[in-house]
Amino acid sequence: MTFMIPRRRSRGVLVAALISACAVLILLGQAYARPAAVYAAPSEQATPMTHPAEGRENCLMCHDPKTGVKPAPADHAGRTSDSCLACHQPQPAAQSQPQQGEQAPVATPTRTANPTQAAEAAKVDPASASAACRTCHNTPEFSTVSDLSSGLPDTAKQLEADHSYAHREIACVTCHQGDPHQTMTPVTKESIADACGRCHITERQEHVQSVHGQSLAAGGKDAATCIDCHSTENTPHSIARVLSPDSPVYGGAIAATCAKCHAKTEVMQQYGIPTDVYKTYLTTFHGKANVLSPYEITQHPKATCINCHGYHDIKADSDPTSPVAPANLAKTCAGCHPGAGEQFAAGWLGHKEATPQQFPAVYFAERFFFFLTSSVLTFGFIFMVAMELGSWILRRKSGQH
Amino acid sequence: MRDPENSRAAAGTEDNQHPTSGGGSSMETQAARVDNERRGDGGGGSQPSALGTQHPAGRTPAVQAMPRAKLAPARIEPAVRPGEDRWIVRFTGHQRAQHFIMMSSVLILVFTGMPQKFFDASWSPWLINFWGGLDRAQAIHHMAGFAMIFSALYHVAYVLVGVLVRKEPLPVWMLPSLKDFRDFFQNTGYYLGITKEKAKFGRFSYFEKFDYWAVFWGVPVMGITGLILMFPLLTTRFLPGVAVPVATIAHSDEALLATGWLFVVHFYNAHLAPHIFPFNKSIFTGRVAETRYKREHPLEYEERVANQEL
Repeated sequence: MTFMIPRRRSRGVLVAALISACAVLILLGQAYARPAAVYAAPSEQATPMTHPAEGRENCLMCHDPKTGVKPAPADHAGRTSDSCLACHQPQPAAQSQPQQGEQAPVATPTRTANPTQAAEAAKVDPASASAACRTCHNTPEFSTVSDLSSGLPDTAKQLEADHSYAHREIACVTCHQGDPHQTMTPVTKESIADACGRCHITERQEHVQSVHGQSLAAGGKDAATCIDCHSTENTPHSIARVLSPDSPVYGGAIAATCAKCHAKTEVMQQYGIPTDVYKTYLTTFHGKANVLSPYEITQHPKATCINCHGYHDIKADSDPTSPVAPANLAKTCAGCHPGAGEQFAAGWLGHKEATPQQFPAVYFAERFFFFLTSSVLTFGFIFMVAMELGSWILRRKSGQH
Repeated sequence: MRDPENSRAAAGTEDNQHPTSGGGSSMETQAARVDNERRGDGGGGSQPSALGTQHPAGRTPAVQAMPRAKLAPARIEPAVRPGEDRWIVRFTGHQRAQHFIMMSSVLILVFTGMPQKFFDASWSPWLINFWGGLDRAQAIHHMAGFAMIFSALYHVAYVLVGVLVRKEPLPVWMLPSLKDFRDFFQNTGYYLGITKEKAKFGRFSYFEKFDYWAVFWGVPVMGITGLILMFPLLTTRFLPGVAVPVATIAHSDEALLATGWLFVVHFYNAHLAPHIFPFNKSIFTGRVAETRYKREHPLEYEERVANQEL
């Protein structure tokens, strides 16, 4: 109690302290909520911001005079992000959208910056590097430009949103190395496979030796590269995890994914590959099982294309190293059917239709049972049902019953 | 109202016993009976006392004169209520059991197998999911297949035991005969308006015999090809590999033939024909109303009456 301040003085001090504290809080709040309000009015020379300020507090990430993708003038060196808004005020949202016919400043992004340095700087922290990329590559107007220049849809936003995409945590610069604005154009099937192969080394090595990889190396444009099978939208940005049911290479979906190309007559004819492989697969035990049972963990695995043909190192069936080459077929069957021998493998028609030349026993069994079924059913329907019922109706009408 | 002596006498010579009372039959009351073949068999209602006291030993000579009692019974049971039809027992308990096992197993086989045959039909995933998925549907299909094979073997054993062990006469009435072909042409002529009358049948009509003998083709084909598909590894140790695709085709096509025949022709002849519609219980109860028996199997009925079997 000895420390108690005399009443009269303490009241005045408390009131003054409260008022000043409120004033400070209000000022701070104002500064935080609307930073421009506490700065001086912008000078006439200052370039207006062409994008909203929200979510982009770190101006220097892009606008650093030395390392920025869209660098500020050199005389801005040494300034910090919290001072930018003093002069460069954000435009209202309506004005930031480029008008029709109007030359929007954002529609001509400067490529005079030094993106290599940006990438180098970004490598230090891939996550913030990706965030830096997305400051532009997430905006609708910039995505449009990206579409036009690269021919690839910008799915960066989707990549971030969709958790099934396998590479959602991987920094942009992991794939877009060097100058991220230059190196990946023009994108080819082979350049994509090479980019993937920087991490997926074994898979790319197998792919190079596969019939697909060799066709690409020989200048082919049709053979499968990584994204043709692994991507839901045929872009490297929408790679789905192999074990995800959404993935095109998931057990229940892989056959249809192969059929995307292998059922196309105009493509397959150039290589002399039959196009009814998917159709014939579906009518076999394996195909029916795959259609009728969703590929669930509790169920038996159902053989698809890859179980016999292989995948990254897939070979032509004429290649003696292919698992479906005649010499290897029984061994391949035995992978799932333990003890399968030559005769078991001979029971597989190999996507071929039974003809009197190829599989006479199967062909004539087909003919015999077709004839038997159709003739016996027709006989029964006509002579034992239709005529009996018909005559009953007619006689009833004519009063004979 | 039971007459124990008479029941015991019947039990000694006939299987398919029903705890029936009386057993007395009299031809003179037949005229008064109404045509009630569509009525159910009522589950054994109250027995009129008059029937129970009629001719307590009247059936004894008829029972003794029945040479084919076991494999082809034709035994009179009294009407459930006075004034109704009497019943003629046509099927033994074994025969009804054989039919029941085959019927239920084939129905299960159809509803588990058809969604596999027509795998791309819209109803097929629904039906597969009804069974609890493809693996379960296949397991049920396999079990029902064994039940179907069992019912066929059961029947063959039953006939062999009857003929070889119990020394009953050969069931020649089951064999196709010239008369069946004549009956077929006569009926076809009748449907076309050429012949005036329908054929008169004995114990089995030509379409009943067709259904019966079709099983002797269908079960071996379905059973053997089914076992080949179930054990392809074992099969290809003894048979060429092409047996598997051939079995696939045979199993699939023969299944369609059997299903189409059973669901259309057999169902029509057994249940859906206008004079039977909607449902014929005789293969389940073993009994046929006398009036209907007389109309559907007149030759057998007359023969049995002449032989004093009825």
